[in-house]
Amino acid sequence: MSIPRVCHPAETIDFRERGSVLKTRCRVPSVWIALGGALGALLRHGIERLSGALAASDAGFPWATFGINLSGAFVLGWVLSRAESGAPGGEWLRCFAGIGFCGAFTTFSTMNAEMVELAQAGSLPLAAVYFIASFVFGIVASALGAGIGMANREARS
Amino acid sequence: MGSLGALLRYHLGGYVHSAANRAMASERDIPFGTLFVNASGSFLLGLITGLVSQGACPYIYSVAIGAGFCGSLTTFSTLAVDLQRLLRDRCFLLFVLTLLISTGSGIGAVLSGLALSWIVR
Repeated sequence: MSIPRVCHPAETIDFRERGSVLKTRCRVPSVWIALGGALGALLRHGIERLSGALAASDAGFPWATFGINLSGAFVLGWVLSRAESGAPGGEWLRCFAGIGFCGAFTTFSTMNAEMVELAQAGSLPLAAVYFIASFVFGIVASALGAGIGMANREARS
Repeated sequence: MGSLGALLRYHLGGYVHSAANRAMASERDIPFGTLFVNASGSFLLGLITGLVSQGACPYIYSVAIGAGFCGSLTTFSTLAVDLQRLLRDRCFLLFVLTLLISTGSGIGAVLSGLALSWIVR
């Protein structure tokens, strides 16, 4: 089974930036991914706990996960565009801060569970808003981060 | 548990990613690795949440396995960056496919995890 050519990558894009984030293997020891992952998960859990203590009810809009996912997408966009420009320490930054920290800090499973919860609580429209807002703003955040990384790259060269 | 999830996401996700894209022989990578870890983490989270809410498992499981392991195994940032790059490169068909598959499999996985928790408890 093969997928026909359905898109036209801009010629100016560096080869390393094509394809998925997980495609390029890390050239630093995996312990950095583990460390970044532990930090990201702990920080996420701390924020979720704090917001749970502050929230008035359980069935409201999941602001904590929403904010965590958007900020993580922004940071990952920045980290990857910096790492792929060959900045010093870029490979370490990509694996520790990108794959480890941002990957673990942001979460897809909790987001889906919250959507199911909202739908079960009878607020299907809110679940739909959560879904659309997460992806629209997540993509914008990632583009913003990548844009800032790119601007820094041009300023350096 | 967060570090275990992150390591598994990187190694298992990377393996699934290269194997699946080799099999598909696509000119442009589809983030299969991320899709796979996201769906399996969502399934496990649904299962754990269901078991804990029925009192079949102590609450600490939902913190350690649910928030720690599943939360780290699954990722939103990688998916957002992958989707942003697909849009930037005008891969609209792959963009829509990735979005639909990830959300469909994620929500389906949470629901099947919840359903399984009622069966196995």
